Amino acid sequence: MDKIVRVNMSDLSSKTEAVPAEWLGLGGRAMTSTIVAKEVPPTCHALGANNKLVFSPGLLTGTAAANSGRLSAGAKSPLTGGIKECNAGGTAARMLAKLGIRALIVEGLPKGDKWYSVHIAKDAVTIQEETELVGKGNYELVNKVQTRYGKPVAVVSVGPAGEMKMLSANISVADPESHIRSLGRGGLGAVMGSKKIKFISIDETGVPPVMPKDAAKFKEASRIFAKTLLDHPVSGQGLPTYGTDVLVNILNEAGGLPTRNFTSGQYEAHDKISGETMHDTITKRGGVPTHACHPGCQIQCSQIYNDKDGKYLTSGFEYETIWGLGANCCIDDLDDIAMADHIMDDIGVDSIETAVMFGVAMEAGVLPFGDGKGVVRMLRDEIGKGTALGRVLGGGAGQLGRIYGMTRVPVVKNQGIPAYDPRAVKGIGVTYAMGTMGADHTSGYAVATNILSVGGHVDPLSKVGQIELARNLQIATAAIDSTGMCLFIAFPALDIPECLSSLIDMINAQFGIHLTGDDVTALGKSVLKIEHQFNLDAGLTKEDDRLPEFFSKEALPPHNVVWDFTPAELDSFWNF
Amino acid sequence: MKIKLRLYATLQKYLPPGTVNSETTLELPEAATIPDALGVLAVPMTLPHIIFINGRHVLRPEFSTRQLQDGDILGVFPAIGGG
Repeated sequence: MDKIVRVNMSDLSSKTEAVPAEWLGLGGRAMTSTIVAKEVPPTCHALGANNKLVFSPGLLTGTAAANSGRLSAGAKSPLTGGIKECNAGGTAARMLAKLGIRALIVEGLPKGDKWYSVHIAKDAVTIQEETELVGKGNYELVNKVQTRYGKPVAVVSVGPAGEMKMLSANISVADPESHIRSLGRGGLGAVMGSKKIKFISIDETGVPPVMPKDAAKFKEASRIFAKTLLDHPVSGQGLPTYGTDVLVNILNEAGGLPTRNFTSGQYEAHDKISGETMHDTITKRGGVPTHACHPGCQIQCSQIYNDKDGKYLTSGFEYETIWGLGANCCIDDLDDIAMADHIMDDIGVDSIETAVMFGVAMEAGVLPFGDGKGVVRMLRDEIGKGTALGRVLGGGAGQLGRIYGMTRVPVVKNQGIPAYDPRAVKGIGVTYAMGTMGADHTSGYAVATNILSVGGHVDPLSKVGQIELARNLQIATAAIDSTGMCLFIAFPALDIPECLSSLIDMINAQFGIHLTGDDVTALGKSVLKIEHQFNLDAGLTKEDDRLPEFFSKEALPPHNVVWDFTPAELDSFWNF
Repeated sequence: MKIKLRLYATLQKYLPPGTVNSETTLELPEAATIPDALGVLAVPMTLPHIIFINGRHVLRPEFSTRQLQDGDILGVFPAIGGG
């Protein structure tokens, strides 16, 4: 029986409700954004009692569908001041779905300074005071929680940064190896920390598997869907072999790899931090180059990266993190970046926001460009320990830029711009400007069509076709984010028609309904409009749908291009 | 004429042994095409998915016909993705 679980931290109570009729067709991002828009006052303080933190598995999560195990989290963002949805792998989404929990809504704030954990099992939600793990990092926490329960329960937690309500704090989700995946962006860890929840554990013991209404139809659609993931060269070969870091060399070749705090589009040491180099290093040290971040992932773009002595150092070592500390901060030692990645996962900060912040901090003279050891020290001893400087750095790129009086501060809606320079990859620039989440490459990945020749080709250096491209991708992404699917299914979906049709067939077979492609597009549009309206009601304006001024004033080498969209062109994004 | 050829990802195995930074220099006759350049290292023309000349995309219909100029940098990738 599907249900909604509410945890009220003001009186430490919980209750279970039937899923309201209007939420029945929702999952993932559609569910979290709908609930946040309906129940959170847009002008509330994001760290106050009126904000709510909502978790939701996708529509297909818990089923046998490949790559369907993403967990969405939503709230009002303390970083952007607007609505936020993040999604991540790990084991939590699948367990929530198996328990029939379509949404977990955390409300209110406790009185006093005590910390709590929330344990969710079959027919029981337990809120307990937590003392042992307060102040601990995520790696130790996951290990101790799973030891405490004597089994691999799912764990959703905040590190010290979340406890300190830093704007860059993320929420961690344990993966099948008890390593860390992240609900990364927008400071959702600060929201969880404000509610004094150190961790949520989930135990699926005693619940039956999720069964489709039409098992035969589901099985057939699931087979076709999985085959399209295998057949497409990106999801079937490129991502499993090299992980996402394979993008370093191609963005460098295209002149769109933001370097030295967004002052160049090419990095001379690109080869030292590339996916090819990382693959060789992992293999040489006995790591795992091809690894699944959640049960049922077939693409397996994650990896396990060992140090020089062959000991585990980090996993889920992504392009955006490596770009951010690599090219953007000019750190050319992959081991320093891997150590920094490990610490960011452990203390619980968003690796994109933090890397963009370090780029600004280096330009401001807080530490020199290229100082990998300095970054590691500041993460561990300043941010992780909450010193005065650590609190400044932990507030993200926008805050750091204001405090140091910088003008080259790459943020939109106060959220750091990732990994693709908007001047040289103009489609992703439109996504950064217009996205409801602040600068977020995953919300409409125009890089696919601008750079990677997936879903056709739109010239990255020209304005022509970019608004429409970004709009269509943002609509499709809002729909995919609602299914529980990993966004990387978009690569086959853009090129192989059976990918999307079999995905819709799986949803129909699962629920005994008759959605069409148009219905899915309508869902994506509706999610975007709900989110946009929340942002407007929260006080954001169309002037917030703009890139920082320096992008239109400073030409980016090697193509010497500037950001040249007019406000009217950008505003036309919303004409749908 | 001389050009620089850069091969990435699974195409790196076609580079001469000892290649640094994925890049090798080729001596080619005037008016040589992309297939002429790739032919020197025996890269099958079925493998390239994304080709750059001097950081600008070459569109697929021109993969087999586009002529190179002295000093060009030719960057070649198989199908890859991430994000």
